[in-house]
Amino acid sequence: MTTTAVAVSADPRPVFEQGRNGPTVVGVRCRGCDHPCAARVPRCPRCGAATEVARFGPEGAVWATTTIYVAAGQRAAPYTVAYVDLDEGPRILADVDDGPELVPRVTERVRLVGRTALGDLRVEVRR
Amino acid sequence: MTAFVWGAGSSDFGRQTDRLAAELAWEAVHEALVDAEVDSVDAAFVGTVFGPFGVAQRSLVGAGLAGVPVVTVENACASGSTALHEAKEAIESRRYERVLVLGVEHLTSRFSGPIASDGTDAEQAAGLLFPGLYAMSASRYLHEHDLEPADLAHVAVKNSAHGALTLVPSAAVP
Repeated sequence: MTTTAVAVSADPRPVFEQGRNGPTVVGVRCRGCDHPCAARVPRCPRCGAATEVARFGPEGAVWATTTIYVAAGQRAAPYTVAYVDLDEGPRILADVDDGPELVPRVTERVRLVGRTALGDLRVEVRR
Repeated sequence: MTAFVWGAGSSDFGRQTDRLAAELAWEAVHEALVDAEVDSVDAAFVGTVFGPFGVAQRSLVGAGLAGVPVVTVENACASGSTALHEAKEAIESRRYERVLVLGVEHLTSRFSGPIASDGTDAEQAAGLLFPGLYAMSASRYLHEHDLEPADLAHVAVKNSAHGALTLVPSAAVP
């Protein structure tokens, strides 16, 4: 007899939703200071006030980016990821859909377009 | 009361596939006890992130320190520093007179690639392990300070030069 852990389906990544006005991330916004957060936390990480559900995206700008050459999980390296500040929204981590050949510049405009086959948020560079 | 370091010890660094995490701790604790010329402590503060369950207790039993109160601290990269800080406070508040502070990791047995947290972390779940996380910080730093990657390389050169001065043999390899 062996013991195994119970399979858990909880996913810590931001919730994606294909909304009427385009792709969005469903997170929260602080009722006190308006600070946005991609994780659905009950209290604001910045001021501690209560939050409410809010939708963000799809437009944003690259805050930082890097190309990964040693893959995590089932991903095929190399792949490029970016931290993206969604307009009036939170900073999200996303796969850059254009592949390692097109590495975005910091501050460059990008658009949330969906999720990868593995469920990562995906953005495209707007050039 | 002011806390003082009375003795110190360290295991060797490097890939040690034939040794357990606790064995590394035994080596370090034994050296510290000999250095301090003592054979007992009132309590132990142990910092570890990836140490397997119970590593603090096994580390102490094998070093002849069974039965003392144990506080295990996990505070990411600051785990050892936090253990040291809490130990200092415990001495200066007179809760204990003499304590052991131990930091222990055996990464060789935990990772075959980049160091990662676990699947419940949003970054790791999205394909960003620790080296990638730091690369993101570097990306932003280069942008904000108008620097080139070669500028950051000077930090690695400086750190290797400092590492070459250590008395622990494997850490001295530049």
